[in-house]
Amino acid sequence: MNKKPPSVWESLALAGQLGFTIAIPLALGAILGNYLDSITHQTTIFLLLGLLLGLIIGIYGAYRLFARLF
Amino acid sequence: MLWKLQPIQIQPETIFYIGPFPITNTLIGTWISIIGLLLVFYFGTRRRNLIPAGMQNALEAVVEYLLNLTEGVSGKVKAKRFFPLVATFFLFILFCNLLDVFPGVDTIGTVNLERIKLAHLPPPQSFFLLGEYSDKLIPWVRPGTSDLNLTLALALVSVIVTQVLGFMALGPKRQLSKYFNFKALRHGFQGPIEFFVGLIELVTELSRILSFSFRLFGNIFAGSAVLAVFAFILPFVADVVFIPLELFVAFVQALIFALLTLVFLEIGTTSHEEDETEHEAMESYEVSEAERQTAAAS
Repeated sequence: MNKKPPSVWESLALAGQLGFTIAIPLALGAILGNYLDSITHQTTIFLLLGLLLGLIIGIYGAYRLFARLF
Repeated sequence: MLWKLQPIQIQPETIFYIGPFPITNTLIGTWISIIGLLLVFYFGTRRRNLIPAGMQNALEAVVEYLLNLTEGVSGKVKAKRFFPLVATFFLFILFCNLLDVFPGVDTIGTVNLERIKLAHLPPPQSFFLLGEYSDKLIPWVRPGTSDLNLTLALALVSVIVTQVLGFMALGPKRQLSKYFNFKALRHGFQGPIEFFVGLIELVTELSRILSFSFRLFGNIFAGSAVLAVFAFILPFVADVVFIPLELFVAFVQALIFALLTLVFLEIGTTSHEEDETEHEAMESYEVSEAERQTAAAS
């Protein structure tokens, strides 16, 4: 897809984005799961599901970023 | 005690009010950056010569570098559309960040009389705040990007413009089908997965607001905190090392914000299914190259 390989700065910027791409969906999933737990009076089931969902989203986002890089 | 460490707080202090509208020290810093940017570019390009020299030369080099960067990522045609936003992001954030290392920023201000009263001290007599008084200061100016409100606004602009340009480039149907891929549901077993991937795409788009704003805010706020702490631990000496570091961080963070905006603009205006726009861009690039060569030959 790319005409030429990305420059050093572009790669650096994308690498800097990588951590956030994985961490933010995880945190959002955990917050959402915790909230659902508290309103449904469950112990941890929604928290775990939220973490799993966040992890899936994070991994997919990281894959998309690396598909751009290489 | 000779001096105390300034309290490091995240929220900016309100200096005064205009009507009901609070004017914070980061807002003053933002306006100082804007005025500085205007002055540099106004006086730098006031007398334009065909052969640039001095300030004009430097500014043209900056703009040309940014233009080359934009063209390198998104090709000649799209670069024309992306360049104004990306270059403005870079220059504005750079000037906001650079305010961090100016003398007087974070260190000149009014005395916080409430905190002096709380500590049971008499009002200070001298112009310089020493000893017990040295941490009871409300600085007048703080760098604009060390306020989460400004970086959040910039991130919102970046993400919304990405969506708007995506709608303009791909049309509403194709743009929405990126996120709500109902067509894929007909594909049998893989359909629901593809539909789910579209929703994931939407979440990653939205989480970019957070990542953009927190990265810029975190780096610049931490930078000014580092400068304050080392000015407290080892005055005059330690900041010789850390001010160049902060200059570098200011440059890198501005460049990263602008470049990521550019990359996501490029991704956002490229369709998943076909690279038609890429093709058009390549063709028009070749045409303009051929025109330039014939112009050079004649």
